[in-house]
Amino acid sequence: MSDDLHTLVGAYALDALAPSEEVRFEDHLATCAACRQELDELLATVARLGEAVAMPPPPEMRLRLMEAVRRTPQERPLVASMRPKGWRRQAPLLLAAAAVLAVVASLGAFVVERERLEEVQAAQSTLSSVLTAPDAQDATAELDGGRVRVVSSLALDQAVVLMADMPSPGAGKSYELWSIGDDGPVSEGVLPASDPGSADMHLIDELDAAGALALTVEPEGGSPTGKPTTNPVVSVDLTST
Amino acid sequence: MVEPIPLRPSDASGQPPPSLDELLESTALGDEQAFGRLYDQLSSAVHGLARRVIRDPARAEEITQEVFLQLWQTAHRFDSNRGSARTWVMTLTHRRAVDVVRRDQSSSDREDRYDWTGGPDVDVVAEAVTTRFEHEQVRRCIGSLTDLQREAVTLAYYGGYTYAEVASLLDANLPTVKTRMRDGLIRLRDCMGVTR
Repeated sequence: MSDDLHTLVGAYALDALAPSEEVRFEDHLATCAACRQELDELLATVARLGEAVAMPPPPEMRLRLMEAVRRTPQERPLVASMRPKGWRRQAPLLLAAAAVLAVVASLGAFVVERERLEEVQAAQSTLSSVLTAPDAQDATAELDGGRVRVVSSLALDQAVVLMADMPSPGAGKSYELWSIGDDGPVSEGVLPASDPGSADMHLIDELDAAGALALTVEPEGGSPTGKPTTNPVVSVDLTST
Repeated sequence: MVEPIPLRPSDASGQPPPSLDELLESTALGDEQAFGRLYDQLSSAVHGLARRVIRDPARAEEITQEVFLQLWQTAHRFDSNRGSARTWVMTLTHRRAVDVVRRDQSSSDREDRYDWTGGPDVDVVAEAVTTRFEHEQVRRCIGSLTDLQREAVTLAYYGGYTYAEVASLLDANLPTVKTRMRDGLIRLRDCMGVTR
């Protein structure tokens, strides 16, 4: 049977299999290193057949395409742009970045309509600068199986808050995020209700030397007084790593 | 006027020009200029293959643009451990072209469309511009296949037929066609000295 499957490698390289056989062959490929090696060689071979019939496209295509490229976001630009910056040292931050990406991907970042694109790109560039800042600090707190992770940079005065698997704040309630500095808590915004098991991220643009971030449970829509009405369910100290 | 031919191509910085693999990696980082150079080097190959499989010139141009836009968006998926950038791009192109042909046309249309004269497709390559050594080599290697190998490989690759369709077109049984596709490609691989 597996022998039989293996002989499909030629037809597969030629894109000549029916969809159902393609799936079967790909399952087989996953477990067969020799088949992958053979397939890679046969793909390189058929690529030569393709190049042998080369024909230049009309010259105006280049201009059209470059126009389109300017308007078209790429998949996962964040990871790509961070790769060259000493990723070994920053591996833990890259994990944080991966969590952000999960969020961004769930927003469908690369299919966002054009108006939202600049917004998303600006957020990504802030994220990426915080996550790769030389003085970046990384702190995590847990809450009933949920995790709150804060990456902050004093030099940039910015922080990225990543939340995953957070328990529901309860019916008619919301989480509100606070930065806590010398003048007491300042609201950093109410977190939108999220599905269980999902991840969220939040950017804080001006930390103003806050020493901690805290989450409280408030009435839906946020504290009516502008100050926390309950004790924090979780807080993250920003003054030490 | 005769331009002097540089012994080794180089750009203004005196560095050797980036390889296709490097251009693709820069493209993944959002480098539009690298993408433009990638286009300059691969657009003829992509367009030629799309044109050959799809036949309809307007549709082939459309697919060429789609393939390059897909490259722009997904360049980070390129895995140089699996093969060259060139192979990856041609693989994407063929896949896309074949999908289009199978969606757009019933197989009976395609049967009519296919040029059967003189046995398929040694001539396809001969027709195309074959000044480059590699193309000459491809033509010679295709010529070294048995008739059944050659027909099975070229009907599938240039015609976009499934191997079941190829079997019925050639009036051969399925296992035979399957096997000829594989051993035909292996012979081509060895003839062209392809590693990966």
